[in-house]
Amino acid sequence: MIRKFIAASLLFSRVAFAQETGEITVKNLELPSAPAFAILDYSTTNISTPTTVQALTLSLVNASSSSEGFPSNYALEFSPYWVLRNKSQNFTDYFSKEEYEKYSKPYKNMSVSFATVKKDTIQNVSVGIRTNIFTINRKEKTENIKALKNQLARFATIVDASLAPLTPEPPSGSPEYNAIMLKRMDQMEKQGKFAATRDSIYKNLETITQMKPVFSIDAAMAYNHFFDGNEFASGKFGKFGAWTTLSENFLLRGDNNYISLYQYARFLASEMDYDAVNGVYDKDQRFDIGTKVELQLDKLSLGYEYIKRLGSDGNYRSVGNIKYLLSETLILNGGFGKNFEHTDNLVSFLGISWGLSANNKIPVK
Amino acid sequence: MDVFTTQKPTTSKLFVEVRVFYKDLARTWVIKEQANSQTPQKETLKDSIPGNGNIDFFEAGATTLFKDLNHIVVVTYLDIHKVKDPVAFMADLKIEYQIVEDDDTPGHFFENKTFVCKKEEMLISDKKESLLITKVIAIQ
Repeated sequence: MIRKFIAASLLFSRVAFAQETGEITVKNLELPSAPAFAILDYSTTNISTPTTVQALTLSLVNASSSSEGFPSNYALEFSPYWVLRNKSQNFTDYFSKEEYEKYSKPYKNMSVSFATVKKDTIQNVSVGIRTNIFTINRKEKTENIKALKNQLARFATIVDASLAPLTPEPPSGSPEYNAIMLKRMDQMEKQGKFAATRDSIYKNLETITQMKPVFSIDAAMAYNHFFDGNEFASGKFGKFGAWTTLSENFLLRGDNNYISLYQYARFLASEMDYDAVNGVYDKDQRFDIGTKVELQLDKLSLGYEYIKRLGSDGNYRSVGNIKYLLSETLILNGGFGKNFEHTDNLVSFLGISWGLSANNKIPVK
Repeated sequence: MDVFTTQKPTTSKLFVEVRVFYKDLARTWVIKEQANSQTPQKETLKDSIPGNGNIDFFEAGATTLFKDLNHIVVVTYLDIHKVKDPVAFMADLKIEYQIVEDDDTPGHFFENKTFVCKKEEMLISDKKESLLITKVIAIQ
C-alpha cells in the first residue's frame, strides 16, 4: 500500500511540477505542521517546530493501516508574501536580515494553510494562519552569515573580472560579442578558485538554513468546519483555536543535532462533541497548556509532548512521536499515546508524510 | 534589440529596475552603451549586490543622454551548475526589465514599459554551468 502511495505521489509530483524551476525539497522534519491540520488534533504532534516559510507546501499523509489507496488527509500551506506579490525570492533573501542576533518579521514569515481530514464519516475542512513573532539567533549563525557575505564578495570579484563589460568590445548582443562572452565564460569555469568559492557558498548556505535559533516565539490560529455523512447541508462550525509556541534549541555535537524544548498555550472553542440525549452539539471553551521535548539527530527526530486541558477533569494529551527523513520528499511519521477525549482517544499512527515544497520556484505570473 | 520610445526626452530622466526570478547565485550589470559604433564605449551604471541578480529602481540619467545616442544594456550572469535540464530552464526563465521615463516630480510617468528576457539573448557555457543573458534596449 505504501509503495502504491509513494508511486502515486511521485507521479503526481512529476505531473504538477514537471519543470526545472519547480524544485521539490523538504527542508525539515515537520510536515504536516500547518495550523489548519494541527487544530484537528489528529496529527502525531500538536506542538510543532517553527519552520522556514516556503512559498508553497503541499502535504499528504497516509497511514500504513489505511485500507484506502490514496490518502484522504491533505494540507496546503503558502506564504502570501512570496506567492501573492509579483516577487521572486533571490539568493540573498535566504539570510537577509538574519545576520542580526534578534529579529522579528511576522509579515514575511506569515503562512496561510488549508487542510482536509476525514475520520469515520466526519469530513473536516479547516483554514489556519501562523507566523513568527520573535527570534533570537545563535551566534554561530550570525558569524556564518558574515562569512557567507565575504564569500559572496569574493565570488562577485571573480565573476566581475571574467564577465563584466569592457571597452573596447563589440556591441552587446552582436555575434562577435557572443563569441567573446562564451570564451570568457568557459575560461572563468576553468579557474580552480571559481568552483571552490562557488561550492563553499552553497555549502555554507545549507549550514545556515539548517541552524535552529536559540529562542523563538510563534503564534497561530485556525478555524475548522465539518460535514457529517457527505452531506453539504450538515456542515457546521467545529473548532476555533489560537495558540502560541515558545521554543528553545540546544545544539549538540554534529552539524544538525539538537535538543529542543517547547512551551505551548492554546485557547480552543469547540462544537464537535455530539450530545445524543439532547440531539445537539455541546459548546465548549477550553484552555490548554503543554510542553514538549524533542531530540533531533540529523534525519531522525524523537519527541514527547504533554498537554494539560485546564478546567477539565483529568483531561490531557500525552503522545510520543518519531520522524525519519526517508528522502527529500518523504518522511516516515509515527506516534503513539493518548489524545484529549475520554473515549476513542488512542493516538496510534505510522505512515508516510509526503511534502512538496515549491519554494519560490513556482511560476509567479 | 528592444526599443523604448521616450515621450518628453528634453525634460525627463530614465529609471531602471531589474527583477531576476532565480534563487541561486546571480550577478547583474546595467550598462550605458554607445549606439551606432562597432567598438562602443561601455559604462557600468549599476551592479547588483553580490549573489543577487536584482537591481532596485535607480536613476540611469537624463533621457537626452540616451535617446539615439546610447543603449541601456543589462547583462545577467546565472550560476546554473545545479540545474538538471538547462533547455527547460531557459524556456521557463523569467527576468523583467522595467524602464520608466519621468521628470521625478509627483504625477504620472511619461512612459513605463517592462521587457522580459528572450531565449535568443541567452548564452550558455560549454559545461552548461553558466548562463549569460544580455538585454539590449535602444532608447528612441
